[in-house]
Amino acid sequence: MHLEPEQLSVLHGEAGQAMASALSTLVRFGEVFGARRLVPVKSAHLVGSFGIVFFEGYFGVLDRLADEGARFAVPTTVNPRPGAEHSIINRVAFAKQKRLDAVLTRLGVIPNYSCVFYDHDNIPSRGDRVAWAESSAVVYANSVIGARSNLTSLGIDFCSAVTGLTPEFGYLLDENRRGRVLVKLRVDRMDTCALGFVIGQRVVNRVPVIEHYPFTRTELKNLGAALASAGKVGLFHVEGVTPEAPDLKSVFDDGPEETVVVTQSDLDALRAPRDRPPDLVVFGCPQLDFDETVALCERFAGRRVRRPTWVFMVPAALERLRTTGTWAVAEAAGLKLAPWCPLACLSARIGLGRILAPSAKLRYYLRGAELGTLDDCLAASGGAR
Amino acid sequence: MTTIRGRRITGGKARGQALVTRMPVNFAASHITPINILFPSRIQDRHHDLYRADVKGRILVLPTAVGSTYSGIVLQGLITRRVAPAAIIAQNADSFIVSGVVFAEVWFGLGMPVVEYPGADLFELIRTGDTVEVDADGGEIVIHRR
Repeated sequence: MHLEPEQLSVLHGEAGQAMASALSTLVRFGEVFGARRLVPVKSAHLVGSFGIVFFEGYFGVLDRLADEGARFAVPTTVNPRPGAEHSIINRVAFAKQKRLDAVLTRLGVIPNYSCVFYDHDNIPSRGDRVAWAESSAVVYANSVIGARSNLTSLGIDFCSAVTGLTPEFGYLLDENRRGRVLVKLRVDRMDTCALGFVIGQRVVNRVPVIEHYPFTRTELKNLGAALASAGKVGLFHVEGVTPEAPDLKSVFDDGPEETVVVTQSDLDALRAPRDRPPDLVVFGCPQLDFDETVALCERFAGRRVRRPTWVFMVPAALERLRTTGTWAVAEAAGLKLAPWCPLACLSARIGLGRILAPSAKLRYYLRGAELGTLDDCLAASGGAR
Repeated sequence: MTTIRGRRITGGKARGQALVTRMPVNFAASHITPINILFPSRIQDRHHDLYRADVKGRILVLPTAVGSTYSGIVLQGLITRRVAPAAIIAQNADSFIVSGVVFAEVWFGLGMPVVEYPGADLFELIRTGDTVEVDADGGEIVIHRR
């Protein structure tokens, strides 16, 4: 890899041993993927927001950086907190939360603590290079905004944040942003969570191009999150909808290498059976923003939840909601609003009941979670469909 | 005995019993659950055909990694707590695998050999339980049938 003189001096320890290690991590990592240089990034986003008790090792690495005076060189946001205060078992599982929060503060993190930050705290433009972790945000940035990020791993993310650099490979390069697989839809009732899950499993690591469908912003967010968790998809295109796919012709080099057809029965097969009611309904993975939460709460106006129902939302949106009339609606309905990560918050619970969620990501990661359409989840929780 | 050659991703030598899967591995879903506080190296991904297998000391043979960007630090954690696979042989040594191993090398001075072997015959050549020797620097993989 070719390094600039100032990068070489950091590598040789002139900015401290920890900064040298951070740069060395990026160089050795990038060389495996044939990166020829390190390029500057506009921002970083860290996935490591859980003070998990057995992750002592990398917390120590963050300490080493902070102790040597390193600071994040570019605006750097961070994923949701896990809700350590939610239960006794969470306090044990996330016993290192305060320690992690403290070192991230020392390093200069923007304390957004959300996985949905790309239209609030850390807003890229088309073509910007960024070093983001959190797969649901990376796929949104690449696909919907047209920014350029790899699926940066935890560890690589903060090395990029302190150096302001990332190795140039993968989705940063034009040739890896082209369509590979064409996806045809034979669907009457759209469910973007199930759709993303089905496509993700079939295209693993490749770029799918979905034929035209008028997805909303929220649907694109959920589609991407599902694609990423099921298939490590970091970039997708939708014909005539996403910025790099004005039409099918311009997004493929020589046409698709494979064509996948997704049918309604593929989507329905992922849905939880409706004859067994869940113990818990969970909305908000990825977290709901302000508008999405208001829309959801309106479905519960004048109603009462039929079973415990959680709504996980962007922390800043939760604070804003407190100042609106919607807060009283949510309280009267018995909705539990929380500013945390649902996966982390609920993974260590005692008594593993069934969870219904309109989230392919929760279905994948959270024990006991099943996938429902938005209507299924509203019906189970007592909201208006 | 069969010898095949792949591409060195990270260096080192290892010998152990193969643990083979044709399913991509999600290291976060596998190793970040409450059970992993007690059994860090046991795969807890209930969607996976290696559910409840223990990776410690094994030669883990897999197509690639999928899932969460937490994956890198999961591998680093297994390596620095000395409960990692002895080596990884991947059809596609993707960024999640590579990041964790490089991170452990640079920050903790502890490595794990990783070899990439893209051939579709990988899962015919190596089966679970075979004894496998990996010399990652030369990309050499020696397989002794069980």
